[in-house]
Amino acid sequence: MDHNERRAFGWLPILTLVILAFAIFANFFIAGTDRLQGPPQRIFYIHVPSAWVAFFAFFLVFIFSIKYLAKRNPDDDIRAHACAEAGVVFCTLVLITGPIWARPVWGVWWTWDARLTTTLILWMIYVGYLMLRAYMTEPEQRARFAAVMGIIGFLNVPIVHMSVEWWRTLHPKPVVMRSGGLRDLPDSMHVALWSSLLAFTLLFVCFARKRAQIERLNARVEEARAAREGG
Amino acid sequence: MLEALGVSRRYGWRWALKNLSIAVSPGETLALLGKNGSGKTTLLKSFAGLLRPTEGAVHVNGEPLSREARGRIGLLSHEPMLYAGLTIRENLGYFAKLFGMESGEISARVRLLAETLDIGELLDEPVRVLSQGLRQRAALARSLLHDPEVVLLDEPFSGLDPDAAERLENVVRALCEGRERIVVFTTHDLSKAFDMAGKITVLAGGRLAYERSAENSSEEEVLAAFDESPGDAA
Amino acid sequence: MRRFFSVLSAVVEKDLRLEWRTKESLLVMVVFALLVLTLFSFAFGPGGGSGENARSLQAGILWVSFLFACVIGLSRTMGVERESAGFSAMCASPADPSALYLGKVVSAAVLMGIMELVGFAVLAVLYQVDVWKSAGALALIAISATVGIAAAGSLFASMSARTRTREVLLPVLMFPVLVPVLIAAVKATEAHLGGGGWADSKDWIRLMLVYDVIFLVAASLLFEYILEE
Repeated sequence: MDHNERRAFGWLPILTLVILAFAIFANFFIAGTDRLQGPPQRIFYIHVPSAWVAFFAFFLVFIFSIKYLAKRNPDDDIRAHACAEAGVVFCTLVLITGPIWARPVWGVWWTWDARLTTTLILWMIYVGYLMLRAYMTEPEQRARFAAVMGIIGFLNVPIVHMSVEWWRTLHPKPVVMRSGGLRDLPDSMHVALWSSLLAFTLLFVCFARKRAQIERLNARVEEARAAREGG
Repeated sequence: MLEALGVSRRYGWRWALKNLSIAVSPGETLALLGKNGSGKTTLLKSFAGLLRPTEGAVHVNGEPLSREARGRIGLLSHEPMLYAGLTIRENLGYFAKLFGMESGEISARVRLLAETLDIGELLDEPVRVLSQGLRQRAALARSLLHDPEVVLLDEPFSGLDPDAAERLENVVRALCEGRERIVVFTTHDLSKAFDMAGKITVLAGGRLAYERSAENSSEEEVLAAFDESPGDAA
Repeated sequence: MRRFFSVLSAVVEKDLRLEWRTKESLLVMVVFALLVLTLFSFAFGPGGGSGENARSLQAGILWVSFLFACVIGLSRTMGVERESAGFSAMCASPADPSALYLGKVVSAAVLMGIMELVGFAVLAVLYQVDVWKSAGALALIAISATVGIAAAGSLFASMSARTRTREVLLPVLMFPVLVPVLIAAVKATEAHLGGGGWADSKDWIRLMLVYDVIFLVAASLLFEYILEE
């Protein structure tokens, strides 16, 4: 099965690399420099795709968690785990690029902006998910508990977002420069954004697949070790 | 009818049970023997619904073990499953309600069990102060509270002094002889197994290594089955 | 339906009785909440400063101390459940897991409610807050927040109680998920302490109620998977 998998998806990492290279090229050479924000705006092409991928990853954790509880197929648990880990990586990227972007443009590292704050809380929830996994030894129980956490964590996203948004509107707002929505982006920026989005999504798929593959091997090693010790 | 149909269960990273099939019919008493780690407790817990088999299924009366079916099963596990801070009566009252019993029914049943197990005077003592043997008796009362059709006993006699063990043995014997009940118990004591059970089974490495009626069994064969390596019993 | 409530009340009765016997959780919760309330007073100066800002600070202090205290209480009650193999006993019974879960939530909420009464009283004394003026509103806020905290707390505590690190993990799992409740409870309390009234608090209360309903329903359905060994 592993062989077939490798044959079928061997092209994926290569494709990802090519698109990623194009996306980086597009970011620096195709997309024009933003009139208001200048070069720092280019981090937008990393920040936004990372955020999209993180949300997508956590959505997948949610789906695989439900699937695991319904079917109890250990592979769904492994997939949920892999997606959560890759999701946390991209979520971290959002939280790193956010301040880097904010500093030159808004003058502060952190603004408690609703979207950024929601991402921070989301990051904490899924770091908690990974810690829960790390501190459990019995694989079946771990899979069940993690699935419950994966479902609850995702159900919380809209409520967290809503509460943070309200919370912010009741406070004095920092001076935020609002770019005028996606429609106002020039074509060159669209190319950079969408290629980057595609590249990051594929990158996530590669990461998650690799992570799941490692976890499957891990399970086999543990099983073989247990069998040897037990027998 | 209590059945395990091709039950496999991973516990930790080990396969504690491997494709195990066994059936116990009403009126039958089954002794589960085997070394530590051979899967006895895992099998009992699977029967009780505490563990869901990784593969295969447990059936009660021909149907997959449902939540309602758990009301017909009584489990005496290693842990007493009693709250140390509550009295025996309070513990029993709580569990009786979980099993959906009515208040009138509960007090009569508690009185009867207390009498059989000779813990009548201790009903209002907190479990915390009870000795190991008394605690085991209280735990047995808890598992028999709802008059289950299937009684699962995990090493009911271990850690008891001979006196207490004998008393408990008599209760269990009465259970086995009673109406069409299924009793499954695990033990390390061969003589008790032969003495009480109608059928002797041995688990080795999560597989069924031996299964025969008590009359047709010999201790040598049973002991030989203990050491059967998992590979041999296909 | 009668069965459901009989199981639910059996769990509540058992939990409260155990608590009454030992007073292990409640006492620690109350003392801990008081401690945090006074500690904040030292950190921010007596009364938590002055002016309009003080009210929001006090509301924040109050709910953060409640949240901390309830982590301790929940770890303790779920610890008892673990030590007595209570989860296994629940799982081996035919009782509806939702009823068992809601029973745990109710008993946790009752303990928290008692702690909160003491907390509000102390707030009134230490920080010169007129709690009586808007007692009804504060009660409503406290109830909606407490249900949310108890709902999330009971679910996560029953998980963390059975991990290797036990209690340590509970705040890590619970706090991020409870951010909406914390924000809403603080904002709503602030509105009533500062005299903003219903106009400022009703949306927050509504948010908490929505949170409570979503969480209670989801967790009731999922509790079954926590019970298994």
